[in-house]
Amino acid sequence: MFILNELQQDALLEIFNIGVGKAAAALSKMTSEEVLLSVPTLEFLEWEEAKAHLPGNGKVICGISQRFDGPFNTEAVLMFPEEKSLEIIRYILGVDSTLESLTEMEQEALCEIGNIVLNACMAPIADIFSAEFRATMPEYRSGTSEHVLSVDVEETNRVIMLMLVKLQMEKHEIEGYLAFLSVLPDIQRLTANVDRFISEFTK
Amino acid sequence: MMSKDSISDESFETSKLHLAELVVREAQIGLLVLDQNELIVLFNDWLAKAANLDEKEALGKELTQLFPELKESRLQSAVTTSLQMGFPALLSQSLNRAPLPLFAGEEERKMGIRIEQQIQVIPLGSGDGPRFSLIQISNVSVAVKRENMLLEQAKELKRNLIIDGLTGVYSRRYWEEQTLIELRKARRACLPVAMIMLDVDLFKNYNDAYGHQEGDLCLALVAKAAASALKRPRDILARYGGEEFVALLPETDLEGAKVVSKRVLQSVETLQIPHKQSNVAAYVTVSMGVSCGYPSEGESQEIILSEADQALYIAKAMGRNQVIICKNKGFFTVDDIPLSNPLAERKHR
Repeated sequence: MFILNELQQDALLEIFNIGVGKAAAALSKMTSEEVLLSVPTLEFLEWEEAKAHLPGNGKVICGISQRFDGPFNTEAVLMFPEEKSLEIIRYILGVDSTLESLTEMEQEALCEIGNIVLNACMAPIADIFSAEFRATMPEYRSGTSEHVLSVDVEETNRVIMLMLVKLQMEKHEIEGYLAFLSVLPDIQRLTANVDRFISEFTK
Repeated sequence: MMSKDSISDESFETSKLHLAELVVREAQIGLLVLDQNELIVLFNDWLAKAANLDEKEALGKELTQLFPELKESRLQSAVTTSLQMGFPALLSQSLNRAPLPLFAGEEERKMGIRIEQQIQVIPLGSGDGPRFSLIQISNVSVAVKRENMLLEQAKELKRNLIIDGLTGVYSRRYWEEQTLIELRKARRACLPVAMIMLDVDLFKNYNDAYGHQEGDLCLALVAKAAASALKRPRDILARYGGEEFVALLPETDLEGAKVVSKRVLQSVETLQIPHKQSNVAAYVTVSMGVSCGYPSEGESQEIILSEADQALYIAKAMGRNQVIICKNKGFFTVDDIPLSNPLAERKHR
């Protein structure tokens, strides 16, 4: 399937890490605690392949999604396993709750965290395209990964750029996934721009 | 020459614009628009009222001029991002509380109680034209209140599951849960678990003599006294039902359980609650049955509990106000005088 060369892969990871670095700084400021965020891995997968890599494996996951439209159209989704989301959001908000699902306010807080991370990751992408994107407000969804990604099965050519995201606060660590759902031509446009970015960088 | 249609189109457009203006003015949410230079170009009535500012005071100013506390705030950086990148932002109430000094009324303003806010920063216009940033502020005070209530109720519910409402000691349900956990731990570590069954002597007579209200009070006092005799944090005293209580003592052998049960007996005696209908003493007393088991040797919760229950049965048959120990399937007084089960049964009859 779609494979990047090592240089392209490194460059993209670097680009996303700049983004999550900024997101971590924003989250740290907001929560007055050190938040560490990193994107250690990145892969390109077809939807069928991606299912096997997604968190939960049929378990409930929480996702925050935003659609970005511009020279590269994508549905960006940040996903966490539900129980971990409960733990981390309640730690951040300092609430002592035993409810088994997120309350409305907690969902909204998670939406904001997702919004910060997704915006921060897309900002350097917009930079390498030297173009503008229109984005929708973050949306919260919970359910199986199929539901959270709300994949339109009819659509062919679908490619998922899937990244592991590690969020660390104090002794809490939460591993989530950052998924960018696009169609193949969009991903090809993205890699073409990554190439341009690399060539400008190495000039 | 203008056609009739285009005139009506034009007036339609005008009326649509007029309508939009009315909507913005009257909307029951805060609307604020900043231009590309981050200067305020729209400030609706709801916001003017909540911020106690005039629209004229706001227009043409920067956000931080109007609200100095917003310098280097998340809202300010969200506005900048929306204008520069065109990305929207959500500021949740939980993570940001109330960024803007907005108040529901004069009273609240004096007391410093801000409206709970959910803020959305939405970029307007795109591409080549000028870009604006719309700040939409919703009052979520009611939702926050409702949610706090929900959390409180959930906590209360949980507490009720753990604590027995009448006596304030642990509930039977909690005791059952903890027993399972402790037995599992004891099985792995090859440690003993002791159990004490406790019964308030002639409680039915007490109720008849003093009434149910006094009876409830008596139970609560006895429970509290008995619980205070348990010293280790993992020891649990629970109400088993009626006037019966059960104590779970992890990592405790028979000798240890004996010491604890004697302490419980004393602790209840010290209360000196008068009991005129008792033939045991002039005050309220308790009887106890003690057992101990090694789950690693196959002794189940049922066995340990049933032995404690039998020991309690014998304690009652032997005249109450005492502790009987079950050891190696036999029964003993606290001073290790052996009793035989048939004897006890005969006495009881």
